[in-house]
Amino acid sequence: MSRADPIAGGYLLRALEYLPLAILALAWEALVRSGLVSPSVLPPFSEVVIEFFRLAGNGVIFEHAAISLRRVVAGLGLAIVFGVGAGLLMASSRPVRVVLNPVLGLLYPLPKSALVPLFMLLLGLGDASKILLIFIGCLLPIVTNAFNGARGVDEKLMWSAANLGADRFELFRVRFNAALPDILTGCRTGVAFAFILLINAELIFGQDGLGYLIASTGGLGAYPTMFAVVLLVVALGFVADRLFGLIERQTLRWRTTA
Amino acid sequence: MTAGADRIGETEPAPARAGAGLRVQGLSHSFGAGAQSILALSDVDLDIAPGEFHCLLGPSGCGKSTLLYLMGGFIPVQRGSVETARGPVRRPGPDRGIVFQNFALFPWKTVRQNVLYGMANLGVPKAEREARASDLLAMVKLDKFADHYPSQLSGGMQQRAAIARTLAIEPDILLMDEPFGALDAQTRSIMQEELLAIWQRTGKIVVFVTHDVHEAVLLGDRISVMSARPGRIATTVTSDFNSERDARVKRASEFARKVLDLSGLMHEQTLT
Repeated sequence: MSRADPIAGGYLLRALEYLPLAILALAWEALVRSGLVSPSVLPPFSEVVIEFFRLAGNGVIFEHAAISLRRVVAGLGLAIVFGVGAGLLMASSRPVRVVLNPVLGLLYPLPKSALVPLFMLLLGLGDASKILLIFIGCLLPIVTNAFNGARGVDEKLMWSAANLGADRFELFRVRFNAALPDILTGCRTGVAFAFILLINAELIFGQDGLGYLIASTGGLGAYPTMFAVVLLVVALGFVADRLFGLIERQTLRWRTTA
Repeated sequence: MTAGADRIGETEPAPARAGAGLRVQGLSHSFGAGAQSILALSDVDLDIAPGEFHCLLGPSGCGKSTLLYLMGGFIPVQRGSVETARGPVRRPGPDRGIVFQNFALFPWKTVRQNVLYGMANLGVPKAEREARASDLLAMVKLDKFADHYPSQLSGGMQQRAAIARTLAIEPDILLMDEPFGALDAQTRSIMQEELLAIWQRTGKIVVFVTHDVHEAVLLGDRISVMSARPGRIATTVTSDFNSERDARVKRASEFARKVLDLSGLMHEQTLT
């Protein structure tokens, strides 16, 4: 069985993936250097990078990053556990579906950031309010994908399992495995949502975390610092998404082979 | 033997009743409710003998698959009864193994894991199930592909894997739902021969759904020709190729005559 692609061009292609990012950075630099955008509004990219390494040197930025990541992991983790569970239950039980559908319907158009003041009042300024916001926000894509995946499982596959002596638990496992591609898609959407909501919450009412750092440095007019933090947030989100993609490919090995 | 109302509701095995065969009595089935309801099967009677290869032949929409799923217990019986040596059929059971047109293999399991799955559920000891899986994989000529995933196999190989998976639970009855319908002509013809060989070796009842007249004549001891709207058995004919049936008979003029007869019959049933 041949794994990965052994073509030398594979690495070139991987490198090519990052080309648009490099162009974007260059365009940023050029835009500011040419005077089209004032450096007082947008510091040049190079300056932001230098500022980033200065911040990294004294370590404060990583303390905030750790706090933020903790919130993402907790909120997203809870959303995955409850969201996947709810989605699968909805697919297999009509009563659960009837009860949960209107709740999800309401949650869909609701601007999650609007909940920030409420959660702050309820749970205070610390971790809990941010984790709850991330949890609520990530729940929706995870539930809907798990539900659609579990509902869309080929009936004949379930019949085959039943024919082959599967009990209720085994049938549930078959449904879960068959729905796994959709479940993972939902979780990956959740990863992106989690970072957006985290920064949202910390921006509005933070005492710590990367969002707080953005708000406080931006408020002081320290734009190079602010953009350095933004850059870190983007990088963290990007790495998290890539990591998830890797998990997805590993888990769904059976699908990608030809 | 007469059908009695007293047999309905009994659960203990009653080998005397259906023999070791498969008996369908007064089976009707409709889908949907109220005015939207469609009668898919109407009052079907069918008696399949032990070891018989029985083909259900008919145009699409004639309810032949519905009849097969009712035999398998995959859809609940509404009116009438389906009975095997083990009693009335109410739910899926390993005594009636099914093979679907689109294989329905577990895509996240390798071929070997697919074959092992049913035996593990049914509590076959580990050493025995490993041995049985290896034997079956050799029989369907997939021993070199045992650790491949279904997505890495051709359609014909996937269907062989599905047949091995079903044979692994040693069903008395093999239910086949247009199993070769998704395969190209060449592969289909090879698979037909292989299925006949397996059937002759194991002596199982095979109920084989197809809309292909050639296939039905080639494979079946008996062929039930079904008509549509509502689905019922128009006629059941006996194949004359019982003794030496294999691909060679396709060339025989007898075979051609039978095909023509049945084609005419199919034509009638499709148009009426």
